[in-house]
Amino acid sequence: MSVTDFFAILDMPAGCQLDRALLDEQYRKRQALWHPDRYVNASETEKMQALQHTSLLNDAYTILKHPLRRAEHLLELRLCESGDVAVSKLEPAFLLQQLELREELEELGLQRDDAAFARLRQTVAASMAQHWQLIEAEIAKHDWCSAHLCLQKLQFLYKLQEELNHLEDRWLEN
Amino acid sequence: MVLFTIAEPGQGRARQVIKRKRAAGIDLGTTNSLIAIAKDGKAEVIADVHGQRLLPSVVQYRAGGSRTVGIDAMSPLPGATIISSSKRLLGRGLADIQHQLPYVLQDAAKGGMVNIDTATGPVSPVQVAADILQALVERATTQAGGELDGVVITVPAYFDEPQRQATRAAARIAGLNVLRLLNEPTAAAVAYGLDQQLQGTIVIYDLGGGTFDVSLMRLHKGVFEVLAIGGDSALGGDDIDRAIADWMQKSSGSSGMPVEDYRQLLQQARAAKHALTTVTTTTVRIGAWQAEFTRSTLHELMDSYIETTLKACRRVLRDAGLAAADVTDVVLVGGSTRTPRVQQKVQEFFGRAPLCSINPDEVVALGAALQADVLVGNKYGDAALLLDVMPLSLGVETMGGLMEKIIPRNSTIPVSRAQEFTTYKDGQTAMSFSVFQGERELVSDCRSLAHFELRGIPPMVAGAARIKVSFQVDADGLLEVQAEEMTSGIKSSTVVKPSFGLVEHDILDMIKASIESAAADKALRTLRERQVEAQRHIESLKAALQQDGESLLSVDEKHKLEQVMQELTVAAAGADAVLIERLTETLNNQSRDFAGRRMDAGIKTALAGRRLDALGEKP
Repeated sequence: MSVTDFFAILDMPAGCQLDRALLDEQYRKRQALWHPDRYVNASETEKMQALQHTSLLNDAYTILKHPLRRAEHLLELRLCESGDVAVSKLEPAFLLQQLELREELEELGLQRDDAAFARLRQTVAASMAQHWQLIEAEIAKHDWCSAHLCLQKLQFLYKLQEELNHLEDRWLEN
Repeated sequence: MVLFTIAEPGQGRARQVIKRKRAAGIDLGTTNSLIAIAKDGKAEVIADVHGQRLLPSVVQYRAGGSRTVGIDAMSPLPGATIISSSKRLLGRGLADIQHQLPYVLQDAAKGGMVNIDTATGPVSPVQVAADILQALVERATTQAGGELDGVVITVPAYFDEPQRQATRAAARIAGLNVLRLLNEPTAAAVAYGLDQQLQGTIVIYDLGGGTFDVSLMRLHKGVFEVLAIGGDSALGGDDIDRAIADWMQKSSGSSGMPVEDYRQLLQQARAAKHALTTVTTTTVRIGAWQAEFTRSTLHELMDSYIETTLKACRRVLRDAGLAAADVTDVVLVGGSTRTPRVQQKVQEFFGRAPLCSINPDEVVALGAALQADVLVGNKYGDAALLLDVMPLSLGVETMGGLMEKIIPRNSTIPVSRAQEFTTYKDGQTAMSFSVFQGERELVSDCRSLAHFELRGIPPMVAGAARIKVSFQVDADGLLEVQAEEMTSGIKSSTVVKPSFGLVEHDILDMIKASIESAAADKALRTLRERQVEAQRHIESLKAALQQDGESLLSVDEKHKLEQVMQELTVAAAGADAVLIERLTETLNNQSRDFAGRRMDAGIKTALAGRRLDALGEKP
């Protein structure tokens, strides 16, 4: 099954890092050309095609804006091209560390502790930065399978970060 | 070698618009409504014959069926019913309305939209809205010359689908061609962006009579991108009036008032609130009881409402991943933002003085008029582009009454998303889908939009069928849902048009009643519409043929198209509406393939980035 290349749709160089200002510019330029509001006097066929094309542009922009989803998309494309099959076999050491971090989060949920919260946030952020470096190194080596394994770890970390945000929101609301 | 440039299909005919069309922007507000028209890039509010720009959203129904709208409707005649703030009832059931109103409601059958008891019998809030719309349009036709080709009506960004559909139904009853329902804060941003060249990351804080909206936008070189929206479709200045009225009732020890007395009490409460914007204390009375109502009491009564609005601001910032410090400007919209306390709290929250250089009562209608001018087809190329979002998540019900979100809130529209589902029983041949809108986990806490079935699935073991459910939301925010069984290819789809208790034939009845006298005009109108439509098709095809006819069509294909075009040109000069329609259809069908080839050629160059560069060099 082929995968739509969102980098190509927005004419962006494919990679983990991306020039956000350029991405915004490319998106806006294309929207200005293809948005259905530009086709109010056009035929039904043209209207339909404008609708489909802008839906695709919006999808591409949503994915490319977000670092994790962008990396997921990049690897999906590369794995698809190379025919490599990704495996999901995370090391027990990593999983154990995740369990510990989650336990810390749960405790914080029961008993608010701002200093411990800041430390946990710092640990997660550091681990994320480290894994981003790793994944870029694997991509540079065209080792898509190793990069994908690293991506899975990042998915864990992003999820954890999201829960940290939720907890912080809850504290802010009350 | 022949060199030719490809202009995108929408722009090629920019210079060939036949005649300037008339379009208006309408702000259908809870407390006041108004209409504006744009001309040469400037929008202007249309006043009535007495020079009044705001039309109070009040309708008086009298025994015998007569009605008045606006200021005249506010002084009660014996036996008449005065309806105000009915926007809060649009698309709502009795269970949704949890506060005291100065009139009596009836629940409609099957949990549909409420009706209001009036001297002329039960009236739907949709009818009330239609009466207000008609009064506004009359202003535009008598005070600003002639019929309207289309209107943009603004709605609170946080309106859900039933509320939007009820607004559309009201416009249909009033005989209006709705170009778009535009979110109120977005309309305000258009006015600021175009009129005052505002740029950057902008928060629009819109506190009206009955609704609160907050919208976070990025304004950049004529592209207005909504990043996130939030709010409360049942929170506004009305609530503060009610809080004051309740405080007065409690302090004076009076309760259980008749509706007419309560209506007067609300008017007094509103007057006191307005007075306190300039003085620090004012006297209020009920019968023989009287008391001093001070600014600090007002603040106590309203602070919890303001806090609710600031929570929504916080959520919107979080949704967009921004902090209050990233915001470059805060714009105030809606009459309730005139309250000094609101301005003070908003300033504290965002750490900057808010802007209100455009009249907060008028800014929404002005922005809507500017956008109406674009959507009716008067402006191209340099016109502002709005990228709006879905305010609430859309999804389907899954096992256990859970909401499975398919399009998350704040997705930029148009958007299409698909998700696969499967059967849960062996040999299952049908599957039913319920479409919901809302943020909660259980569908019972979300709003039901539509229901449809996919039948004829070939019998398979449980879990073997692959059913793809696709959601497509167009630029108008209208949703179409399709379900397809992937192994067999059978399909089923529905366009979501929730009427919420207002069945289609009710709407048609109301339309019939409103246009009965104008049946003859209607035939003429149909003919004119078809003539204009035919002309439009001819012009656009001519332009396309001139540009790409030689390169994308064979001589024979081109000849055939020209022949049908000629036939239609002749027919369009005549008076046979049916013939014009038939030939327009034929032309449209025959040119479809050509349009497709042009679009493909366009996409290819766009993807290669070449066309954009070429465009940048255009004068």
